[in-house]
Amino acid sequence: MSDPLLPSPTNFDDELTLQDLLSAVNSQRITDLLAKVLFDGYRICDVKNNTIYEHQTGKTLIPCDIAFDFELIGYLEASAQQQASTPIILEWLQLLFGCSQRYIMASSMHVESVRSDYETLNEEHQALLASEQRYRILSEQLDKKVKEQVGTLEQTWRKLYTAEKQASVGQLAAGIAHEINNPIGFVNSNLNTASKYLDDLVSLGQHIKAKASPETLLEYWTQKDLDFVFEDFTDLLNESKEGAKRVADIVADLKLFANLDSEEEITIDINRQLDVTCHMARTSMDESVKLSFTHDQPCFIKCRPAYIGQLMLGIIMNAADALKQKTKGDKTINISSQQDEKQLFIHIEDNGSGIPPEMLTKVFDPFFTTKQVGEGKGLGLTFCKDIIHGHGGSIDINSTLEQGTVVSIILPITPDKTPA
Amino acid sequence: MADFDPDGKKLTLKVVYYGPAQSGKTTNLTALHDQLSPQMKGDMMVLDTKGDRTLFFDLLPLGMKTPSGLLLKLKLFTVPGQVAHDSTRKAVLSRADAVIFVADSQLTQHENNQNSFNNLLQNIHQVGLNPSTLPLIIQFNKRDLPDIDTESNIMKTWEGTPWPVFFSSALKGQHVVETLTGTLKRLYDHLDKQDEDFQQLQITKHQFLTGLLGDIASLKEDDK
Repeated sequence: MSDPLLPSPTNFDDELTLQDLLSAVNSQRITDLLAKVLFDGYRICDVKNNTIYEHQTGKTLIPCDIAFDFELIGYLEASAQQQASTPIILEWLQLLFGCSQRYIMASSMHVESVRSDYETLNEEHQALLASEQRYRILSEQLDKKVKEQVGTLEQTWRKLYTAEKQASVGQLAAGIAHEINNPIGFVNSNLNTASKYLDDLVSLGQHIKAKASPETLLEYWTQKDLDFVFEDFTDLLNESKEGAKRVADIVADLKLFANLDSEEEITIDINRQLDVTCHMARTSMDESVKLSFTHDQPCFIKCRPAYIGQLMLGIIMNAADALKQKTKGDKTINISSQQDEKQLFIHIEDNGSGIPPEMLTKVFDPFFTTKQVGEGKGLGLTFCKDIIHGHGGSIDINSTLEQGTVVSIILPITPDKTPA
Repeated sequence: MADFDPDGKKLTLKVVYYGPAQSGKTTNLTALHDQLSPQMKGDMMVLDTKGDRTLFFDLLPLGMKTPSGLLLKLKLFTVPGQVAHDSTRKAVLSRADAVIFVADSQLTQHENNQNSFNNLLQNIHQVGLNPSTLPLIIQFNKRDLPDIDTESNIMKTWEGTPWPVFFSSALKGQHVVETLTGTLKRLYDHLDKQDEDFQQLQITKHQFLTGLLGDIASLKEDDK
């Protein structure tokens, strides 16, 4: 490889020098052969008189031209006595140059085309790398976008959930106000009466202090009918205590219902939760509706109580709505809760108007509603489904027109769901 | 482009015969080798496979001495026409001073001609030649065969282009010299206008043509 005579053209069609042309054959054999024929000595040099091969014996050498492709490329020097051999040697060299040229040009061409193929491949490779990089960036951006969108969706969902909840809270508030107003009304009137009774008792006391005669006192007793006052006073107080207890009960329920408005998952007795929810629903419901709730032993489930209460209330109020139009027969909502080792089954059944089959497939769709504009956003059952799915359960609706609707909810019970 | 060698004693020009496979590029060179009588003519170098398909290229060197005693070399190259040898084609096309596109006149070869010509334009661009100034000549070869496209048809297709069209039969040696003559005239005009090295040669168009081609009949008075 260190042979200085190796051809080094950069392009396959570069002009070849005498050195290039001689480099394709073994230099030892060439010089041996030349020395045998030109035994007086010889020298081969290029046009600039750079020696390529030589064998000197001391004799004077005479140069003659070496041409290739009608071009002078060097000189061959031989002694005067051996000039006759030089034309033959030049002929042989021509033959050799022809072969060398074919070989060198073909191999240079080969190198050149391989290099260009390699460059092309390299360029394609770079382009591929660049496009890969581009796709990676795109995918990262996409990932980020998706996360952003999911965030936005979650936020929107929360907003809608809050709005929906506020709507039902508003509905509830009206019912509860009525429910609380009632006992407060009669407690108030009782207290008014009681304070009148107290006035009578106070003047009786004054009579006694003034040492009034027993006849006068008896006359006063009879006049004020104090027998009845004492009897009624006790009744009033008992009735008022009962009324205060009713308010306290409602407040307790409301507190439980409101207090559970936490995002946290906690373990609760779902049946107790349903009980409270039924009380709350009862307050906003027509009195002709018979609402019943049957359940087994307490059932503890880890859940978001606010969500579960919300969705149960929503479904019960839907049932109540379905009963509003009903004029004939009784109006019932039967809620039942049963459980096995793994699952809790809740059925909410009404004997109301039912849902037409063509609507039944759409009830879980967002913004589908049968209510008047302003009454509902059409997100109720969509939320119910989301909440149930979020708890790993399922919800299903069966309905027959004019006969009623059954909503079936299944919630999973996991082993560690013991009361906190 | 035309460049002097480092000693400033020799100027080499390169003309490339381009075209689809088996359109007669090598046959053009063979015919030229037989018919031309330039001042100097080298051996034709053919690098082909057994099936007479050009593997790398063919080369026919021509030469002349300018009046000032400098050597002017003209190297005629052919490219391999087969589609697979594109990188070889690009290497041969590199540094070309003029290109002759040899098309096959047979009706069946229309698509091959088109593909090869598109390939030429693409490669001209890729090897860094200027397509708007590079002398390019179209030769429709194989006029001796039956089932060929008519001259009027071909002219209709090419008349809107800047490239002159020649009709030839390389196998019969017809109009091969005319094609090269036409090419060299264009090349001379181009170099005479734009190439400083070439202008230094101080050579007339007539001297240029007769020196490289010999005394040939197709040279008219106006070329002198």
